[in-house]
Amino acid sequence: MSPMLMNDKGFGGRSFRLLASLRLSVVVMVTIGAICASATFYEMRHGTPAVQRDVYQTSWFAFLLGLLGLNVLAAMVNRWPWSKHHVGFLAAHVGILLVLVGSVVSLYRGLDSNMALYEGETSDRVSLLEPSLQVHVPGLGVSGTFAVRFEKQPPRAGRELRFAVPGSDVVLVARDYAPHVEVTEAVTAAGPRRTLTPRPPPAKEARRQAAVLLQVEGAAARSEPVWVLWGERTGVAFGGEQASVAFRPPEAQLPFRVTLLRFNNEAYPGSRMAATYESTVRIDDPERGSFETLVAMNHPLHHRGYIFFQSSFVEGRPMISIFSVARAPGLPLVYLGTTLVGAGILWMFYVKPWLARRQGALALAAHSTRENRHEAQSADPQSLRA
Amino acid sequence: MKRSLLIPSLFALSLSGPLANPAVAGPELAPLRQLAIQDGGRVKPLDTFARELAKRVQGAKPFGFERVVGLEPTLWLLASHAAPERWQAEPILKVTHAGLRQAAALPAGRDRFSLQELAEHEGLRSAVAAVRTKLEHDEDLDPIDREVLELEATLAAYQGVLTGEGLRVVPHPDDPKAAWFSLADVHSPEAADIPQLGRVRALSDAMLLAYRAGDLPGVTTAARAFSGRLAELAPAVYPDAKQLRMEVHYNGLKPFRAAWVSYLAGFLALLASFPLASRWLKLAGYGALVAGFLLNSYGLVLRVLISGRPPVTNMYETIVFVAWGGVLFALVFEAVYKTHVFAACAGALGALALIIAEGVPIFDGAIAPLVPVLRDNMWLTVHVLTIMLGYAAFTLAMGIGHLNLGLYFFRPGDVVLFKRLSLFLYRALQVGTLFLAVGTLLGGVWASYSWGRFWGWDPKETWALIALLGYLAVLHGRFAGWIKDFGMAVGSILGYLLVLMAWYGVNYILGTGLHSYGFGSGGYWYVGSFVAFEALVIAAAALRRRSFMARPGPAATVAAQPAH
Repeated sequence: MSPMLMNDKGFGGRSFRLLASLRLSVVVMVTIGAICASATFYEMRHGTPAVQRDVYQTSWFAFLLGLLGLNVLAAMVNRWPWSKHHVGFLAAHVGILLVLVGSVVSLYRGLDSNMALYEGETSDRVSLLEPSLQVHVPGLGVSGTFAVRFEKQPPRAGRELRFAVPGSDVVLVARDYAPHVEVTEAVTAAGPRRTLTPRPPPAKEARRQAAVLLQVEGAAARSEPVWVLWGERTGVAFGGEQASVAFRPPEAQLPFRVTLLRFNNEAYPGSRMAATYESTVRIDDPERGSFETLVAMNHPLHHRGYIFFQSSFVEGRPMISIFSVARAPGLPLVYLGTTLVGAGILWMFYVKPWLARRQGALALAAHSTRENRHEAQSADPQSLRA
Repeated sequence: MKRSLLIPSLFALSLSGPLANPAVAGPELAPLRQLAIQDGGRVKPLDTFARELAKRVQGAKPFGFERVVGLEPTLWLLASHAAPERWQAEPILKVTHAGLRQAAALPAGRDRFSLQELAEHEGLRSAVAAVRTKLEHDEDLDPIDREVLELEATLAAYQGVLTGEGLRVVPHPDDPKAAWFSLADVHSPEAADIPQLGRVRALSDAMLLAYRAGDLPGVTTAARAFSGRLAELAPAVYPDAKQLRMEVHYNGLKPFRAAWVSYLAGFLALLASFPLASRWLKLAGYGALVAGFLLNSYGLVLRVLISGRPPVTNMYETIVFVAWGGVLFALVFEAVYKTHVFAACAGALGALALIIAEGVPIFDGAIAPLVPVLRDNMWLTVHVLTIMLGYAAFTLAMGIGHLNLGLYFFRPGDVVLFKRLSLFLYRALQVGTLFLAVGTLLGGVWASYSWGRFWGWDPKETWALIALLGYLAVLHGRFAGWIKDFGMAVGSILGYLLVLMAWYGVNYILGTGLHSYGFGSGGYWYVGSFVAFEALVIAAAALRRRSFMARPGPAATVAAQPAH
């Protein structure tokens, strides 16, 4: 950005000055604050997934954060050419930008997933957090995964959603969707039978159990429609083939395998209060070899950019340990930003005034020295040379 | 049996007067108080157990007194165990919560009940059953449901004292992680086969016999022998005598109560010193303030030594720490500016904060074990301490903001003082902003370390951000010149309401999110009246200011002055 634009009286200059203005900063800060405040109450009513979907992960919220970032950037550019007065200001505001940029990098280049292992199990797959529909027809070599957001665009009778598997004529059709179903199981002569009955959804999304009515269609054959519960996979007959459909998070592959050797949860002596839970795991990495390590609360495992956190467990025999598996490549930027924000505020509030005072004192001292020298010179020109 | 019923009740009567024998509550009982007991996931002195139970049974009393029908808590415990028939009929259980009384259909007109009465009460039983059904169906509990469960747990805890099942004072000889044996276990038929327990049984019986005979020195001697035997029984498990002594010392000293008395005295002396222009009063005020600060610090150090962790793991501790931080900042500011405004403000706020921490029953001062995510983490410590120091500075700023608004009423023409106070206010806001900004980001560092993400819009972190944005808006507005001194004063108060929401509101009003280990309920009335009071203060000051601005003269310049 050039000084030309800053002094420009036209539209470009005017919009730049608006973008760099303190007025915009205050308006954006207050707006974000107010939205976040109401979002926390929304969360209290509807639960965390709802607030994430309806507020924090929307494009308009991203726009507001982006506007804040642009505002910070423009405010810095606007002060060009920078002098040493700007050190603190620049550090703090570059820090904010770095935190924002680092978060964006982690969002787009990172990974947020879960891995559940029972004792003795080995896996190199993690499940991501967003919902998807999956179809597999092993006999035809057909396999497809489709991200879906049924809370916003549910399929209905008469308005089904069709997902064509690329490179084949197989289409996965979502015919109907129930945000909450009640599951009842009964034993019949033909074996156990499960009935799903749509029900009004409870306010908290965590309590909901969604289901989708899926059907596999091909050029020559189509399967029976089948209700699939969230998180489950069901086999269906498709022509002469055995196919499976699933409504669950997609999986991602890790470049190494993880084996849960032992899971250990301990209570405080004489109580049922959890004191710690920890997993002993073995990592088998084709490139870096094998090793055993402990993953516990506050003791995550870092391996090749992946971070394993002990997040929870399911009581039973064998125990199931649940890890959060994350990759956050923006984290170094965020940490640097954090440091800069702290250092910048410190500089603005304390170092800069101190420097100013010192400079003032030096100037005053120089001034009085000059005055004295002046008097001395006029009185005795020789003394200066001595 | 007759004898055991009669003597302790006479004994209790003799102690129930206001002038209960001071020797009884004195150091002679130390060996009894310092007996270790396993309870609530940790090992603590019997003294702590008795005080906590006394608080649960009869509700928190003003000024933190814990006597039960005039009996010192540990003695009450012993009395209860020695004469269960008498004590289960004694109306000592206080039930004040209106919603709870209604839910359990308790008789109106009195709030004290005996254990027996409550345990057999049909209404309470069905209320408990209803909550249990809710729990089984994984439904959300409302605050009254939690009160019902808490009352049920209190009844069970006291019942455990009467039967001895709750008095887990005998460590497992071999297994350091095992549950300890209770006095009931020691007397059970199965224990008869364990030779190590023989002497333990004899000594605990001796203690009770001495108590029933009214022989306090005998109780002391038996308690000393008893604890000696227990330490021998499981030397690796039994806590160090020094540790137990320290905790009993902490319980008895009540350093935070002493600190608020001291802060209050300091505040009053400093306040009086302004109009009286008395140097002595000023010195006395500073003396009291510093004494309070030392007591506050000493209490925090004791808590750290007792619990082995930083003193910011629950609401009670954070309030105590914020009081400490606020006074610390005030003393630092005093060293720089040599005004007495900071000191007076800090005295008032420190006293207020500690009175709230000690006096409001929803803030539990008990030392409890930590949930796994809070254990063993440097980032947690750093991040919470930093945020709490930010809150402390904002508390100080809020106090000065009130003084500033107060000037419109009491010294409307004093422009010099107004400007000076505004500068102080700004200084406090700067400190708060620095600590809150860094603390919030460090919270992200902790979160990325413990939960796997830097920022997840969890309500606690979101509200910390909202408070920070509020203060940043005020500081940026000041920088732009839109917000002048009056606006800063108002901003320091409005911003503090955001801090309260982040600090108290997320845990007690929203009650959702990952920070759930700190959640509780209650206190809405207090906070609601505080918010209403602040709204009144601001509105009144704004009206007052308008009338001054309209009038010509020096007063109008108060608010018309440009910002620094």
